[in-house]
Amino acid sequence: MAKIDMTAVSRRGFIASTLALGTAGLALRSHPALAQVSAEGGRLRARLYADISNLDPAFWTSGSDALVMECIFAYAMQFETGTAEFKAQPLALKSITVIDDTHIGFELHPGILYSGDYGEMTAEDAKFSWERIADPAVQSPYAADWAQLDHVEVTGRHTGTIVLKAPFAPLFTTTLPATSGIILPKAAIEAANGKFATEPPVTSGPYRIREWQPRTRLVLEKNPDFKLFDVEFDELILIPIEDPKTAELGFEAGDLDHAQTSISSIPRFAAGAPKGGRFDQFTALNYYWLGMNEANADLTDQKVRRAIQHGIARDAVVEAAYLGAASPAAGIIAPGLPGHRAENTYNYDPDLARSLLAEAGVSGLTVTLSIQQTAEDLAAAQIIQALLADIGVTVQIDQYESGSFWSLGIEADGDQWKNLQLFLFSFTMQPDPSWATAWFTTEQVGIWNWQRFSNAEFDQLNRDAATELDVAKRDTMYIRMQELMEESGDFVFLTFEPVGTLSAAGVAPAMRPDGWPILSRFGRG
Amino acid sequence: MSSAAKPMAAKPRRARGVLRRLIGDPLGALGLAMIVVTVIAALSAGLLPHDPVKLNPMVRFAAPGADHWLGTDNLGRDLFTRMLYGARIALVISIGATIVSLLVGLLLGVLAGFGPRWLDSILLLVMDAMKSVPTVMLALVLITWTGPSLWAVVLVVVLVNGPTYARIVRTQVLALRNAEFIEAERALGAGFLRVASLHVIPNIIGPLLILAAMDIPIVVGIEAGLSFLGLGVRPPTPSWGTILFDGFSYIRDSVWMVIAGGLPIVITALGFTFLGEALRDTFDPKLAKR
Repeated sequence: MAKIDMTAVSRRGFIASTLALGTAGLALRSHPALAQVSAEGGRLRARLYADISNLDPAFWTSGSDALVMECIFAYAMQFETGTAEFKAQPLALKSITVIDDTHIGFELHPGILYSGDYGEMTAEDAKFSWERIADPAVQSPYAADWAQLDHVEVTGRHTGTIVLKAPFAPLFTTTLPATSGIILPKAAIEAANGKFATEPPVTSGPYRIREWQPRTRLVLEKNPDFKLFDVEFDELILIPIEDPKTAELGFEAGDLDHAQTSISSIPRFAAGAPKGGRFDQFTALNYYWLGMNEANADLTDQKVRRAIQHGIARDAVVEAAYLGAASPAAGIIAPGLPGHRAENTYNYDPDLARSLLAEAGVSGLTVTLSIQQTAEDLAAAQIIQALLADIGVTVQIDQYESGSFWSLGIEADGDQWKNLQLFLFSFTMQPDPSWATAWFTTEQVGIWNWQRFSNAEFDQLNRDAATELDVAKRDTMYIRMQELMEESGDFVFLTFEPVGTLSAAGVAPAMRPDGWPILSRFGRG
Repeated sequence: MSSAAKPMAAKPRRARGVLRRLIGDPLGALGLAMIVVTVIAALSAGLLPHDPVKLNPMVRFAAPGADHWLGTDNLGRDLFTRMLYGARIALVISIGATIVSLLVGLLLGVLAGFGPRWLDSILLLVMDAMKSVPTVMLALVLITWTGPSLWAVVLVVVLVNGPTYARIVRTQVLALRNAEFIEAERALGAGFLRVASLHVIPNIIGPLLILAAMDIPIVVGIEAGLSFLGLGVRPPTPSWGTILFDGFSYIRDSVWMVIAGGLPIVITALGFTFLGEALRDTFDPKLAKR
């Protein structure tokens, strides 16, 4: 047998060989369009935009958490997919009956089994789960979802009545069909000392967790005990990929079967999906804005914040960040929902901005703009930086990976909120205006209200609008609330983010009207 | 001519000899040419007509042409100008941080080698502890603490490379400190500073410079990597790493950003690597042509 003499390889030879191989590799690399995109072997590989961080319905933090929760828990109700309008249908609930404005009867499907030894889902579990989120002692950030809950009356093993203190408009749009409607057994939560994070003590949904490698992948496997609907894929492999551009490349390379694209790529994919795949575009509810922390010493003067508002041309920011795929927004409530605003109360006016700064006695102001490290945020931030430089405000851009970014304004995570000044933010949204405004109340200061915006009229309107069933009146109330937000100077509303998704050949995506995937409903097609 | 002038005259002759051997070596000549091109590019950046940070979204993703030699990026900035300004950042950080690392390494290494045993042990412990921390993790911690900036990148490089140089210097000093010519100097009354600066450092600086030349591409990579991750120089300052990030993000819209960010990194890294290789061969003929 011939021996390979390793000592014969010189350093120079090694460098030359490496260069030659690298060049050859570049020249011969396969074109992405040639990559196979298909779901095989009963597996669906999809992108999570962030790793899971908390799967407790009372404490979840990101849309990725909610996406996974929809797979591992049987929701009380669930939105239909493939429709143009939001329509929620009972899921774990067999039926739901409006007795009057404050009494809602419900019946659970019998035989919904929890994992472990927690038995069957009962009305007692519904009472425990829903009252838990509403309980002020639990301090759930989602207590507003059950703001008008008085109590749940159990009338049978599978039946009960939701008793409200006042009519509650979001009950059928953002409470029962969302995470706050999830039903968990009391024993499991008590065994977990009252709450959990990434290791649910119990599951009840179409999938269960088989494996989680933090920041690498989450593998869900089909739950054989789940009978509420048929599940097509045996296994879901969910891969956290923060940057949508990376996800696009992953999809085109055949490493993903489903992924949300970046917004700036929507025009390109709309012109032609990658070979073998399909592209879908949705009008999303998610809203994107520039926030200002009014508690920061440099921004306490409202005139300074208003100057920054007037110094930012929103259309230029949105155009640069999204390459024409999105339009400027005048608020946080998307078109089609009560409370959608068509126009702002102010215009881009750099002269006025400069005079406001002069009135405030501010010159040579330097502020930091905190963003997540995405191409869109970076482009938007640089446009804002250039626009504010024009009015004499220097902007330093600080980029963060998502984990660090999402704790910047949370008081419980430390004192960094005091240094927070400007930030680019995007919130996911459910199809009720109350879900947009709930995060900006005084109660939310230091939780999700990073602007630390606090307005008594806003808080009152937020409470009143949730109990108002007249759509026209709600519309007026929510518009007024956005005016108050804008008048505070704390907000520069930027856009509603359209959603683009890529699905591999052989995958039939199941999408809500806003482009939210319900992965457990994905099929083959 | 006095006898004292002879060694001084020998230095330029030796430098010329080194340069001649470098240019005579194809690898060395190529490396030197690549570095010279990069330096000229960095120095001439200010002569270009375009502002590297001025936004002009109306001409985003423009293809290369007479007005924009390498096209424009997603915000309409001239890529050729940004690439050249990026060379300034890369060279200032890589050469500056390497020089600071060398000085820190020399100081610590000489102190450890000449100092008392307890000081040697403490410095050794600190150097080994620093070496044991992965570069990226160290960078993340430091930059989270200090905030992203040019100085933070320099600090990361000094903390990563300084201990390496210090260890090498210490080893050399330990080998030299009992040498006969050092003993003789001491016997004549020479102090620590004189011995270190006139006799020890000149004897160990050669290998250190080779090592530093070989480290510069690594530092260029660290700077570009941190900027790519958003932890280096702040936008809109052009850095090859930030240009590369933009290029990666919009690669389907324009490939020119990847070229403008990637090509100079390759050229600089190869240039310094080739030069380091050639320098090693020049100073250590035993390794030449292996």
